Amino acid sequence: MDNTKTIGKQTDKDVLITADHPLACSHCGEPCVEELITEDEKHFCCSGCAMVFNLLKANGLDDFYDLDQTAGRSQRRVRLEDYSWLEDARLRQEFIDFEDETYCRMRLDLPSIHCSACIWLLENLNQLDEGVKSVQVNFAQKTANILFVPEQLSARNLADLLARIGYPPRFRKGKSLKPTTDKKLLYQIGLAGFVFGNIMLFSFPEYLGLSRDTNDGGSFQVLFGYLNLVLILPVLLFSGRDYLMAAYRGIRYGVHTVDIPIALGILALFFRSVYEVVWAIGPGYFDSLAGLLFFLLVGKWFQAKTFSRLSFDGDYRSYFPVAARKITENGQITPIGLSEVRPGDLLSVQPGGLIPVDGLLDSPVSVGIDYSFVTGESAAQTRTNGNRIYAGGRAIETSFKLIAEKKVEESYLLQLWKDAPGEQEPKQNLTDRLSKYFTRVVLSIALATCLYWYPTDIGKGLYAAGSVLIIACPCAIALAIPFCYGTIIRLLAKHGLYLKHSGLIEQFPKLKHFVLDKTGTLTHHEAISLPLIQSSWNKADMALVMAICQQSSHPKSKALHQWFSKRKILAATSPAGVKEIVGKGLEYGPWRIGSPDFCQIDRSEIDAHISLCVSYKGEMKAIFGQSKNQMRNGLDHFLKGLSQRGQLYVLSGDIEPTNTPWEGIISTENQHYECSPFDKKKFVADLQEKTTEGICMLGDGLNDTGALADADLGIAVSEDATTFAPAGDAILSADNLNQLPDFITFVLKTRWVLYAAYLFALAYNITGIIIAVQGKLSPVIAAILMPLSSITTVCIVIFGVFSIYHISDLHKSC
Amino acid sequence: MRVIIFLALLSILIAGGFLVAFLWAVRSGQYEDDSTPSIRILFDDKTTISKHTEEEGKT
Repeated sequence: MDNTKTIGKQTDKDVLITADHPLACSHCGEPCVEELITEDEKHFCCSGCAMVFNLLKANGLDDFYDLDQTAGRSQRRVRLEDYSWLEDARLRQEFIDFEDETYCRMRLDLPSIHCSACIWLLENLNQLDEGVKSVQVNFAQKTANILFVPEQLSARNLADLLARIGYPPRFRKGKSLKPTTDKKLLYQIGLAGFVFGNIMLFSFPEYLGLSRDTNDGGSFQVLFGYLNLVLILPVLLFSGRDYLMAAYRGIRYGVHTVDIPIALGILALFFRSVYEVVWAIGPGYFDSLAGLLFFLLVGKWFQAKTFSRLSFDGDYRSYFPVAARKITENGQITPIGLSEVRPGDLLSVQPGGLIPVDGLLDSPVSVGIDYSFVTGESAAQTRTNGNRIYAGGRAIETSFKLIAEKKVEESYLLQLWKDAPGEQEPKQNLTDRLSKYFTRVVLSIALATCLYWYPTDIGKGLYAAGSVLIIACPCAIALAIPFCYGTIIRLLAKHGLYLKHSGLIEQFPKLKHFVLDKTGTLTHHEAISLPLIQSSWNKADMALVMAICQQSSHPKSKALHQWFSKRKILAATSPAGVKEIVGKGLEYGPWRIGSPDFCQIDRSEIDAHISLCVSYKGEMKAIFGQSKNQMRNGLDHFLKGLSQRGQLYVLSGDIEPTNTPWEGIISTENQHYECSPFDKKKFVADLQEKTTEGICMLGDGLNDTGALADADLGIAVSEDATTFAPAGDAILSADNLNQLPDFITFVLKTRWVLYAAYLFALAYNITGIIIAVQGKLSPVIAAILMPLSSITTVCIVIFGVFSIYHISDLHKSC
Repeated sequence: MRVIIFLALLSILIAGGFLVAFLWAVRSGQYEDDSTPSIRILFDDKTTISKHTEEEGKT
C-alpha cells in the first residue's frame, strides 16, 4: 500500500469564486461561504445540497421548500454511513417490525428530521421510489414507520435513498423505537373523569337540598345513592387500585410512602359512603372520592413527563455501529454483527470509521487514531504496525486492518460500565418523608376525636373520627409536589436541560461540588482556534490552500479550514492531485501544508510552539501557533456562578493547558490532567466518600461515563441531544451550558412555591378538621371543600412556578 | 317525575358510549404521537406528479 493518498474531486458543474457577499444556498439556506455551485440561477453551498435539490425537483417534490424556511439541511458535514450490512437478513432482523412475502415494515430512527417540511417529504417518499408504500413520521421521536416492498426496494437501498435525500437512518442495537405511552394511566384517568362528572351530576339534587323536600325526594336519594355506588366501584377497583396496592405493600414492608395516607382517605370515604347509602342515612361522599382520584391521577400523569426522543442510558451499544467489516480468506469484505467478532478475525476499518474491538493494528504505514471520545485526549494518536488499538477510537485519514484480540464486550474501555454500581436504592424523597408525619398526625387527631366524644355520644365520635379521615387530604404532598416538579421539568427542558425523572430536582439544593470535564464539555468538540504567527499570502493563495484542506479529514486540516471560513474566505475550485502524507501533511504541486520540517521552513527565529505551516516552493506563506479547542460561550458566567455555590474541579484527559479561563477561579490542586477514564471515576468516588454534600458532574463522552454514574447529579453535555450522550441523570444541550448556574438558582427559588402550597394545605386541613371534629361535616361541605382545595393547590403551584420563572434570568434568555 | 329515572339511565348510557370511544382511541394508539398530526393536517393532498403540474397555479 502506498503511503501517500491521491485525492481528487472533480465537479462538472460551474464553480465560481465570488467576493464578499455570500449567497444563500437554495437547499439549506446557509450562506455559501466555503464553496459555491451555481446551476440555472440557483446556488448551492456544496454538491450534497445540489444533489438533493435536483432529486426533489426531478420528482416534483420541490414544494418541500415552500413548507418551511429551514427545510433543507446542510449536506456539507455529512459523514456517509455504510449500509451494506443491511443485505444480511440476520443482521437486519432486529430492526424489522413486521415482514411477510410481499411487505416489510421498519421503524427507522432519522435524527435529521427537524421541521414540518421533513414530515411532508418523508410521507411522500413513495413519489421518489415506488417500492415505498407508506410512511408515517413521529416528529417528537424523529422516527419514521415505513412500509415497503423488499422486492422492488431492498432495505439497504431504502437506507441509501433516505441518506441521499438528507435523512440518513441511524441503526443502534438495543434501543427500542416503539413510542411509550402509559396507556393504563390514560384509561384510569378517562374512567375517573367520566365517573367524577356523572356522580356530581347525580348529586345535584343533594347539593340543592331537593332530595329531602318533595314526596318523591326520599326515593331519589336512595336511587341516586345506589347509582353512585355502582359507578364508583369500577373507579375504586381500577383507577384507585394502584394506590391501595402500594399502601398495602408499604405497610407490609415497613416503608412509608405517600400512598398510605391517600389510601386511608380513599377507604374512609368509600366505607362511610357505603354505610350511609345502604342504611339510607344519606347520599354518601362518592363525588368527593371520584374527584380525589381524578386529581391524583392527573397529577401523576403530569409529573411523569418523559422525553421519548432522548436516551439517558447511552451505553456502548448506542455508540458503536451494528456491523463490523470482516475480511474473509479470499479478501472479500463481509458485514458481520459486532457481537459475533471473534479473536483472530481480520477486520477492515475505513477512514472516519470506529474501531469495533480491541486488537492489533495491521498496516504497513502508521495511522492516526482519534481517541477523544473514549479517553478524552483531544490530540490524535499515531500508531504503527503491531500496536494494540482499543475499541471506540476513530480512524482519522487512513483505512487499516485490525486483528481482533477480544470480543466487543471484553473491550478494555467497556470495563468502566462493568464496575459501575448497580441501581442504587431510590433515596426516600421529600414526598415520602412528609407523608409519614401526615399520617401520624391525622390518625392521632381521629383517635383523639373518638375519645373526646366517647363519654357523651359514641355514634357522634365515630362519625367525627371518620370525617377527620375523610377531610384530611395530603393534597400538598400528593398534588403540589407533582405539579411543581412537572412544571419545573418542562421549563428546564425548554432551555435545554432534560432531567431523567422529577425526583432529581431534590438534588439541586444539595449540590456543593462541581466536577467538570474539559474536552467537549468546557470546550467545543470541533471548533478549534488557530493563532496566526506570521503570514505573507494573498487572497488567491488563501482560497487555494482552503480548497486543499477541504479534501483532508485530519484535525489540523479541519482547523485550518475553520480558520478560513471564519474570515469569510471562499474556497477555490477543488484541485485534483492533492496528496496526503501520513504524519507529515498535505502536498499539492509546489504547495505544502504541515509540520515546519515538511514545509522546509526555518523555525529557529520563532519562539513559540509551531503547530502548522504553509509553504510554496519552500517559501514561507503562513505559520500557525498552538491550536486550542475553543472555549464555550459564556464560560465566565458559568464558572463564576458555580463557584459561588461550591467547589469546582476540572478533570481532563489532555495535558495541562496554558491560559485557561478558570485559572483564577479553580485552584491548581483541584485541576487534574492526563486523567484516564478510570482516574475520573476514582476521583468522583473518592470525593463521595469524603463528603456528604451533593456532587454534580458534567461530562460529554464515553470517558466520563464512570464518573457520571457515581455523581449525585450526572449531567451529560451534548452538542446535539438527539445523537449519542453518555449515560447520566440529565442531558444538557451544549449551547445552554453557561446557564447551569441560572437553572440551579431557579430551582432553589421554587422551594418558596412549595412552602406557599404547604401553608395553604395547612389552612385547608385545619379548617376541615375543625368542622369534622365537631361532627358537622356533611357531604355537601366535603364536596365543596375537597375539589376546591385540590384545584387551588394546583393553581398556586403552577402560577407560582411560572411567576418565579418570569422574574428569573432564564425568561430573559428564552 | 318518574321520567327522571329513565332520563338518568339514558344519560349514563350515552356518556358511557363516549367513555368507550375514549378508551378505544387510547388503545388503538392515537395518543402515542400527539405532535405530528397537528402538522400533518396542514399539508395539501397531491397524489400524482401530473396533478402537481396542474395545480401549480394554485396556492
